[in-house]
Amino acid sequence: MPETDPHEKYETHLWVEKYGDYLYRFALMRLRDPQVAEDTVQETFLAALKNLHQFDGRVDVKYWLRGILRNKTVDYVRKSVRRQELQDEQVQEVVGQLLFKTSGIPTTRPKDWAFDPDAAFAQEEFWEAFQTCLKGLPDQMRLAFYMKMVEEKDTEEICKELDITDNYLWVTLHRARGQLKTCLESKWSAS
Amino acid sequence: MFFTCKQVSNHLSKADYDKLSPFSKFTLKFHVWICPVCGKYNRQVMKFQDMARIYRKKEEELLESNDPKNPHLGDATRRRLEETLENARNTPPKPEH
Repeated sequence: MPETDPHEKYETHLWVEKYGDYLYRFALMRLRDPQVAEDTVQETFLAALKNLHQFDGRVDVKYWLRGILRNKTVDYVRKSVRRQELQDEQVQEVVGQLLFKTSGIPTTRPKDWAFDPDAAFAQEEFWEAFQTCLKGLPDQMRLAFYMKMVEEKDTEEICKELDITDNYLWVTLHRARGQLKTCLESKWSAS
Repeated sequence: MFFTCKQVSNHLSKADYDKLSPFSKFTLKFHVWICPVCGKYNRQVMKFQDMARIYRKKEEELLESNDPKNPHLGDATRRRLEETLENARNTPPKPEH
């Protein structure tokens, strides 16, 4: 039997029409900058065409493309953040200074939410505010939050992908939660 | 062995709880139970986790939605992508050395 052309089989001529907007929105949520998101989608399509012979069709083409795009977004952030801003010893120091006394006792107590989170979760507008706040985080912080909290990846895997230490991730996530809380409280409590 | 608040926070944030010994797990839980600060911190982290799980579903709906209000590729970008992909499809792969 003649082999089917993979371009025909997976309808590569329809990719932009079928998956373009989906992938663009996915990239935009993680990278914020529309131009970077467009470029990353283009790189994804090109990488997928190049590796089409490796695609076994066991998952939907859309999710295969999304997997490639997800890795491209991580690559972009890892390269754009030239290097880890703080060395591990400095991170330890920051953790100690910001969060704990030398004895291990917290320097500040977590403040209560300024609104009822469970009641807010039921309202669509809250999720628009959440998305706006998430977009407001710096790229690396936002992606770390996505990977740990949304995708629920292992710490080890995240550190490897972003090329950071676990202490650095800890500080980054702590700051991400703090900034999100402040942003949500200003947007949601005021409404 | 008893944990300080810093160590508790570290274990909870790094999610290496599963790697702890049964005794360490017990002392960590006990600390979180009796310590108002760690209890509150843990509840807030868990609340963010709930938030992120709900958001994951919302995000999937948004990605799939064709509502014109949602972000989408512009016509010029779409044409550029179509052309780029067409060229890539028609370019024979380079032989690997």
